[in-house]
Amino acid sequence: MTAATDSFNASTPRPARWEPRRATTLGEARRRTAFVRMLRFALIALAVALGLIVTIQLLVNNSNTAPEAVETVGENARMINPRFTGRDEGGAPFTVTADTAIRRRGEAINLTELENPRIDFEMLEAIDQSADGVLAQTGLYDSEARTLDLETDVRFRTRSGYLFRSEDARLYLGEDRVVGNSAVEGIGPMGRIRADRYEVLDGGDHVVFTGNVVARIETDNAGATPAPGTEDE
Amino acid sequence: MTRIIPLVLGFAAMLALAPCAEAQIGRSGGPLDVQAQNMDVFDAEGRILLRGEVDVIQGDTRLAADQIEIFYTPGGNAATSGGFGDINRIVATGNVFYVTPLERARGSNGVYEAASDTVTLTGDVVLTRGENVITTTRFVTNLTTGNSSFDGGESGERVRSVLFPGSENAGGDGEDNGEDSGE
Repeated sequence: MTAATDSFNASTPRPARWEPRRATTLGEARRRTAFVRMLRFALIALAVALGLIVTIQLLVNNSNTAPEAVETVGENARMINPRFTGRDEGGAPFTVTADTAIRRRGEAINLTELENPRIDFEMLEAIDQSADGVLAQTGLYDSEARTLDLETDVRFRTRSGYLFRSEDARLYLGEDRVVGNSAVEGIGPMGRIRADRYEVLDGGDHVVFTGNVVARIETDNAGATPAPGTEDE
Repeated sequence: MTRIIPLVLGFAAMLALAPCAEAQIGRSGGPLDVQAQNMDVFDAEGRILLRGEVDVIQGDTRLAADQIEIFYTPGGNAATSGGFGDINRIVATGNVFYVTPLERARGSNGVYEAASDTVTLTGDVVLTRGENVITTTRFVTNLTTGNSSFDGGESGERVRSVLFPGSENAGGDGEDNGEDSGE
């Protein structure tokens, strides 16, 4: 080593290796002991507190009402393109279809709400013989009573050739009977009819109009009912 | 008396001329406009039953009664789903009124038969035209021939009439007052 290196080494002292500071006196040692003891208690207390918090939270949650069941669908069952079949008293089959249907649950499980209902029934048919064939805007099908309630823009034709337009109708599918309690306009083989109420019996062979009946009876074939699909709107 | 008989026959002829052969109740024919409280259509039987203040109008002719039944033959052609066909008979019951622009007839019952083209009023029949009045219990008129008859029917009551000679229109003045006359 040269004098230069000696002088260099003297101006830049080497970093000392770290060593913990020792308690060189009794007091410092006791203070250090007390500090460590305090930290120990604090750590234990913190752990206990966290445990209590978690326990209490669990107990509180369990004491509340049971968690709500997750529902992926509504209480009523909804169907697309539903189809209901049955037979009337004479054994003739009928089929009720619709765009959508909502079957009620619970005590009213026999009831099904229909949207744009249609029917394939010997007694009557939709006025429009196109692919539409809708009887009304809404309907309510009762599978037990075998009835079909139609509401809003009700239109249908009986097999005897009468066309009906009304705001409501109840089809007794088991009895070949239709009853309407609102104003009706009809076109039949005999002409045009307007009344407050109506009833179709015997599969259409007997039609009863009640209340303020106004009719025009055409006695020539020029006034007869037009063929299906050529109804005069 | 000699002037009375032609008046009676002329009066009956005027009544008979009101409806024409092709029409059911009116001269002009055409559709029947109906008003009633209830209407039953028995399509298979070819029958329509009208009840409750029934009013049937055809052209300028009106038929009113408590109840009217129309019997028809179901008709139709290949281009239609049905067809009314022709009326065979019309039966009016209770407070029957038959009114044309010139005549007014009232009775308990009335029947129109298409086969014979005749109208028959029975019961307490009263026929009026202007000031002329005939009362009887049975009145039959043939719409084709124009012949009419008045008789007492089963009761055998006499025909009574009040005629004003020279009075062709309603309210016309006559030289003589009317007098009762039997058939």
